[in-house]
Amino acid sequence: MQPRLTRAEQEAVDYGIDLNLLLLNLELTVQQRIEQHQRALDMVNELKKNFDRLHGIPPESSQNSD
Amino acid sequence: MESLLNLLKILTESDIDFVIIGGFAAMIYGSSQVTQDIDLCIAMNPENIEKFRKTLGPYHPVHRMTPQKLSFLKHPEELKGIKNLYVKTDLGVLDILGELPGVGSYSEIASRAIDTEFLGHKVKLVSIDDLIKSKKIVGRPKDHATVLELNVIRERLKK
Repeated sequence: MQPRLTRAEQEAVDYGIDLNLLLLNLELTVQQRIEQHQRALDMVNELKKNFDRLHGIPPESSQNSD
Repeated sequence: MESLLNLLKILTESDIDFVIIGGFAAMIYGSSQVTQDIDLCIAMNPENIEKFRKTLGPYHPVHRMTPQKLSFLKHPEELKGIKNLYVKTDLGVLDILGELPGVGSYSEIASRAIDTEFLGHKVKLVSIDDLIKSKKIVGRPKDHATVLELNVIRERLKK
């Protein structure tokens, strides 16, 4: 039987957040989270670079940040 | 090569007092959202800006919001009255804020911040309450997703 979700967990799930992935992150140390994020960011940037190259988009124009 | 990990490393090795805020702080708390930059809150004064110039100098920092990509090492000449700095370096993008609008000044943010550790260095992280508040104020769809994740994380931290 699945454990009952808290209100915050239910809201996150309803929005489409992968709760399992989030809880896995919480098992990592801060150092591991930063390293994991860097690997994800490297992959995103590599995919974006390849997409831009294939579609003739100049390198700087698709840059985005928070 | 761009690496926020290396950017954070050189910042933690410097003598600059800062609080990590924004999406990078959310990621450190455990959020699964990927962010393209590091956001910091600092006491925005000439002395601290000079420290950033010295620390970031080898990595060709420029003001990313200026069309000419003016050098952060030379502009502005007058360091008083600056509120925010939006800098791009060889290691990645660094946004430096003097306050979190609607949440508080640097000293208020720092007083509520928590200590964490990265590569043996103590790092200040914005409190999860302040982070949630700031993300709600910004209010973009991706911030909403981060807030929902942070709400779950906050519950877990209280257990």
